[in-house]
Amino acid sequence: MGVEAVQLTKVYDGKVKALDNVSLAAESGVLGLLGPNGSGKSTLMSIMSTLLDPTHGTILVDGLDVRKNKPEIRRRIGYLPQDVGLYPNLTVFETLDYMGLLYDLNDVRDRRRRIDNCLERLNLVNLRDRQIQALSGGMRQRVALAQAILPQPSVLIVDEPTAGLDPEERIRVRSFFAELARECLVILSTHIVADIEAVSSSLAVLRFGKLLYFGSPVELLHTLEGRVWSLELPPDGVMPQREGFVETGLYRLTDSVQVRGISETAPGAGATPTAPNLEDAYIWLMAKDEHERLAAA
Amino acid sequence: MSDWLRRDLRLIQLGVIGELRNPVFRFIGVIAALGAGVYAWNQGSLAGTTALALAAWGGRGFALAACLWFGAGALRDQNAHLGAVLRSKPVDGARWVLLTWATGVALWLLLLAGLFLGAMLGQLPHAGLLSIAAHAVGFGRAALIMLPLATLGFALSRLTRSPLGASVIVLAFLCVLAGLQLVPAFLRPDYTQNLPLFVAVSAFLLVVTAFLAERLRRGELRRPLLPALGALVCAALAVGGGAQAQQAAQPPIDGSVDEMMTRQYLQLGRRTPGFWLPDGRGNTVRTAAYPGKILLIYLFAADDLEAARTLPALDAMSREFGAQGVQPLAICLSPDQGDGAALAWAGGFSFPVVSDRTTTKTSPPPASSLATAYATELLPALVVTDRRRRAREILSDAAYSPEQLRTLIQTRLAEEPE
Repeated sequence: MGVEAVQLTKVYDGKVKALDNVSLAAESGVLGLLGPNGSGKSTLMSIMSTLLDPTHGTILVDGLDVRKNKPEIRRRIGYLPQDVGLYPNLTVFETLDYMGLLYDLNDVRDRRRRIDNCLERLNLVNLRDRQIQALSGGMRQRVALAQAILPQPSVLIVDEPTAGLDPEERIRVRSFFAELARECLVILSTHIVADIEAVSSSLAVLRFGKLLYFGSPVELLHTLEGRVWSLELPPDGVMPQREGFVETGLYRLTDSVQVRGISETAPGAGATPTAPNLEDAYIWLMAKDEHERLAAA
Repeated sequence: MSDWLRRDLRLIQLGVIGELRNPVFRFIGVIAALGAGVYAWNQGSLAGTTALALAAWGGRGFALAACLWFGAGALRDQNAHLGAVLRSKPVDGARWVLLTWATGVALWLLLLAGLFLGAMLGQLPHAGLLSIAAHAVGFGRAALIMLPLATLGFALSRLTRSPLGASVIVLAFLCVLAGLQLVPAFLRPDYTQNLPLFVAVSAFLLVVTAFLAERLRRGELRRPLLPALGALVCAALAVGGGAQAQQAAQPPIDGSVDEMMTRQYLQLGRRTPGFWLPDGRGNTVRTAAYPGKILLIYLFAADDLEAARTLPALDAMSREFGAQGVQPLAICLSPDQGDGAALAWAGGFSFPVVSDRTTTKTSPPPASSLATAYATELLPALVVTDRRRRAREILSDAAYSPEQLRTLIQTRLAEEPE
C-alpha cells in the first residue's frame, strides 16, 4: 500500500524543471500537496497516475514502479484531474458504466452494484438518469469523484477537487475524502490551505518544483510555536515595518484592524502570541524560500 | 460471446449513444434520411441508378464529414480534462485506439444507413423489393468510400496529434473531386478498382497508430515484433493494392484487346464493333458469344438518370423477346469499373451490363475504346443490329420506354424472324 517518490525530477522540453529531486512517502490517510500555481503539484500527480514519465528518479505505487508497471498501477489507482471533463451527452449512470468497463469491471452485476454504491455514497441517486451537461459544477465534480472510486482503488489521486465549488459543496467533498481515507490513501492536491488543514494526515509543500516541507501538519505547526503574533491596530493605524516579520493575515474588525504574522520576537507593543495555523505555516514556508532564493541570487 | 467482446461492444454502444444525443448528429441524420427519401421517391422505379448516385454523392459527402469528425474525435483523449481521466484507466493503448475508431465507424455507418433507409423507403412503393437490394448495394459502396477515408483521417490525426492530419486527407479528397489533372486516376478513393489500395493503406496506418505509436507513447510496447509484422503485412497489401489500382488505370497498350476495340468503326449497314469486356462478376462478355442474335447495344454513363430509365425497359425486352433471339447488351462508360456490376446487381437485370474500363470521361464527347469505336458524341447511345450483327438503327441521347423498344424490335423481327 502507499506511494513512495524517490528523488523525482521532471524537466519539460529539456528546459523547464517542474519537479526537482522530490522525495516523499505515504502509506495511508490523506497526503496533502500544497503549493502555489506552477509549483509542480499537477506534474507530480500526473506522474503518480502514470500519465507522465519522470525525467529522473521514480515513484512506487503499491510497491510498483511507474515506469515499468503502468497497466497494473492504473488498475489500482483512481484519478481525478483538475478541471475534469466527462462525456456531456451520457447520463450519470452511463458515464459510470463506461468508466467501469474501462476498469475491466466486466461482470455486469458487480459493476452495477459498485455504481449504485458510488451513487449512494456521493448522493447522486436522484441524478442517475440525468445527462452530464445538465449538471451543476458541484454535481459534475461528484460524478467525477464517483468514477475515480469505482474500482475501489488503493490510492486515490485528486487534483484541486474543490476549485470552483461553493462552500457547502466544498465541505461535503472534503468530508468525503476524510471518510475515504479509512479505505485507501488519498493524495489531495490543492492551493486551498483550509482543505488540507481539515483532512490531511501528512503534508508536502512544493514551490517551483522543490519540496519545501514533508511531514505531518502538526509537526509543522510545532515549529512555529511562539512565533505567531496577533496585533490590533486602529483602522488608520500603520503596521510597523520590522525586519523578519511575515504578515499572514489581516482581518477588519468593527473598530480596529487585526494583523496576524510571524516573527521571532513581538512585532510591536500590544502584540500577543497566537496559536499557529496551517495558513501561517504555509506563508512562512513560502517567505522563507523566497528569502533563501534572493540570498542565493 | 467472450467477456472482452461484450465489454468492448458495450463501450462502443455507449459512445454511439452519447454522440447520437448530440443535436448536430440528429439533424444530419434526419435531414439526410428525409432528403434521400424525397430524392428516391422522385426517381420512381430507377432503384439501381438512384442507389448508385446516392452512393457516389452520399459516400463522398459522408466521407468528408466523417473524416473531419474523426480528426477531432481521434484526439478526445489527448486533452487535460476528459483525456486525463481516460488515459489513467487500465486500457491498453492499442485497444483504446481501436475502440475510439470503432465507435466513430459505428456512428457514421448508422448515419449513412439512415440515408439509405430513407431512400429505400422512398422508393419502395415504385420499385418494390428491388429497392431494398439496390439501396443495400448503394450503402455498401458508400461505406467503402467513407470508411477508408475516415480511417486515414483518424490515423493521421492520432499520429500527428493534431486535427490537421484529417484536414490533409479532406484537402486531398477535395482536390481529387475537383478533378485536378495532376491527380492520377489510381489515387481516386471513390473508384471501386482503387479500393484495395485505400483499404490497405488505411489498415496499415491504423495498425501503426494503434499497435506501435500509441503503445510506444504509453510505455506499453514491450514486444514490438508482432505489431511490426502486422504493419509490414498491411504495407505489403497496400503496395499490392497500389500496383493493381495503377495497372487498372493504365491507358490501353498497343496490340491489346482495348486497342483492337478502338480501331473499329461503326457504320450503318456494316458489322458493329465487337467487344470483350468484364461484367464485374468475374465473367467476360464478348459480342462473338451471341451469333445469330438481334443485339440491342446500349452505351450509357453510370450517373445518367435518363439512361437509367432505359435499362429496366431493356430488361423487360430481354425477358419478352429473349426466346426469339433478342439480346440486350449494356455498356457502362465509367472510370469506376464497379459501376456496371453495381448497377446490374442493384437493378436485378437479367442481361449483361459490362464496364468499359478504358473510360476516362463521360461528358460529351465521351472518351473510351468503345466510345471511339461507336463514334459516340452523346450518351446514351443505342445500336440495334440484325442477326449478322450489322448496324440497322443508330440512336443517341434519349431514354427509351418499353413501347418504343418493342416497336424497334418488332420491326427487326418482322424482317428477320427466327
